[in-house]
Amino acid sequence: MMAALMAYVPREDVGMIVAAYGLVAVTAGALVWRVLRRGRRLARRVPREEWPWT
Amino acid sequence: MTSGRIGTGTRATRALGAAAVALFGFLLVFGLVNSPADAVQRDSVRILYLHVPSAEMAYVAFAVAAVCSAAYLWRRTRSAAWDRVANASVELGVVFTGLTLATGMMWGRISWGVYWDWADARLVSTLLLFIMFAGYLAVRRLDGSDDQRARRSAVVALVAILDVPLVHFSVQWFQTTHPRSSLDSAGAIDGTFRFLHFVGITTFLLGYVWLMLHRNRVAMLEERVAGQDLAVAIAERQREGVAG
Repeated sequence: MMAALMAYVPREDVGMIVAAYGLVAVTAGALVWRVLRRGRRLARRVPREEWPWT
Repeated sequence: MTSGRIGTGTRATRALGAAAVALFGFLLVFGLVNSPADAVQRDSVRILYLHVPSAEMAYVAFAVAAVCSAAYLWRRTRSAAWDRVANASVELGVVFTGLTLATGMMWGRISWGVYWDWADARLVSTLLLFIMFAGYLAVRRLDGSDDQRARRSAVVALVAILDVPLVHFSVQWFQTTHPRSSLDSAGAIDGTFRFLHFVGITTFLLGYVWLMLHRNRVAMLEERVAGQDLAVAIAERQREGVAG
């Protein structure tokens, strides 16, 4: 994908464009990982029948 | 509808999450490879598919937080659930605003040659929005009862939301380096850009809804666990009292 992008985008702009997509992907991944991990830890301490969303 | 897994997920949230990931993959491929260059913005237009949806989702997140905060402050509708939703929405809104600022700076470096312009009303009002809602999160950490914390933070949210119209209309009200939105006027931009912007906003919206659902479930579990811990602490004190 990087090679395809570099084929027609000026070299100095490629870094910024890829960094923007990378930043969004990493931030979203970190948020998802954090909320799921916290949810799993807490859900173990509460009986399944008491989970408020079930 | 839950499966046997331990956690805050359900079949519905897993489907929602899968749809968001698939759409982000689509955006990644089309934004980085298939998007044509814009006549004015050239290839930096590829950042538009992230920058504009993140700004729009920040507006949505802060608007949800403001409505929930108002509902909490109004006695007739006061409920801890409003405070919980407002907090979750502000947390996500701050992240979206941070992404807006970061991707905007990258776009600015390509288009203007600089990351930041302190004379630009759009940039400075967006930074102010970020700082005010980060302040909301700081206020939530102050000492006090749950009700005091919820009321204080609700007031902060209702003050901070006043900056959203300033951010949005700053490009019309002031002379700014930041361009006016070409998405608002029909025919101003090519259909491909409009389509990819639509994919971007849908991706971010699905992500927001997914994160809101999970964050709220985590908050509900935190309340239950805090209640359990309190009950255990009271029982221990009572046992100590009997033994003493």
